[in-house]
Amino acid sequence: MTFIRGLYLLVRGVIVGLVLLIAAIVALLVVALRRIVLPLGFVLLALLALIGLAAAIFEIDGGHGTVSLAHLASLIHLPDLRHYVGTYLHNLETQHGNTAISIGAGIAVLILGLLLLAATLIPARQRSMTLAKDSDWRLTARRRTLVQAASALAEEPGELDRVRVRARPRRRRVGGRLRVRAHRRPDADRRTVEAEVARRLAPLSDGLKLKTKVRARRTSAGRPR
Amino acid sequence: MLLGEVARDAALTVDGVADVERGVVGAVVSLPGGRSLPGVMVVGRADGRYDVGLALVARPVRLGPLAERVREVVAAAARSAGVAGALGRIDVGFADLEGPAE
Repeated sequence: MTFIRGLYLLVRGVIVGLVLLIAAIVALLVVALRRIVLPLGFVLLALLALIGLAAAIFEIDGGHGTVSLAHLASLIHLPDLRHYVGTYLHNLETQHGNTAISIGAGIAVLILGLLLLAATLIPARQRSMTLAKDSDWRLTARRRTLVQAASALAEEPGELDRVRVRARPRRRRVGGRLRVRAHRRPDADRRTVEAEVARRLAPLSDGLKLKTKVRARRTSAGRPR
Repeated sequence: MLLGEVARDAALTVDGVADVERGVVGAVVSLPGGRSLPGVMVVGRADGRYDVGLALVARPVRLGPLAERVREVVAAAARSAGVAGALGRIDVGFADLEGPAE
């Protein structure tokens, strides 16, 4: 048993060593090949385009050769698919088919199309906000950075339990809005807290097209601070 | 010295600028002469000048005045380096904040 266990450990060690050696070689190769990957990729793409062009020219002749359209269609079983779809549509027309599946699939495709359309038309969430701009210069800041800065300024020790900041840019225009939701202690006055938070945030928004809106809410009883 | 390097080095001298952005995701990197220049993007314009974009990491200070100071220092550095004629618009971007309370 000892011999077998020793043999097992030896084999396992050799395998681990080989894996590490292969990983090191691959890493070295990746580093070495980085400089030639881009031109190599271009050459491969050009080669692929040439092959595609040759295949397209060959298709013009038709026939049933190796790269003919008919042969390629048979390789991916297009005739079988045509037969299956034809049968399905025929059954559907003669009311023998399952219309519920067809209606469901149609609605699903419709929804998918609407989602794709919405994804294309609805603009992506802007990561940066332009806070000042003229012909010579522009000042931008990431929303996350503004939120960090505003949170750091607003969360000074005082009558606040918690502060939540959201930054929203103005669409296609300079500036934006900081919405601050401050959770005040039950004994703190709402207006006083809001004024205090706005005062703390003034250094961030002064001179910039950045509006600040502060709302102070009372911390609910039993809520963790 | 390249315009991007002039702008970056000048920006880093401004009090309140902690660093240029060096992150892998979302980093702004120029590649002049095969070298990487994180935090700077230089874009040529039709009029022959170059817009310079800086992605900076700021200390928790007032961002407006800091950006103005960066702009002034970069313009002055470009003049000193003799490349002011090539300098177009300066885009000062604050990509991150150093040491904020999360």
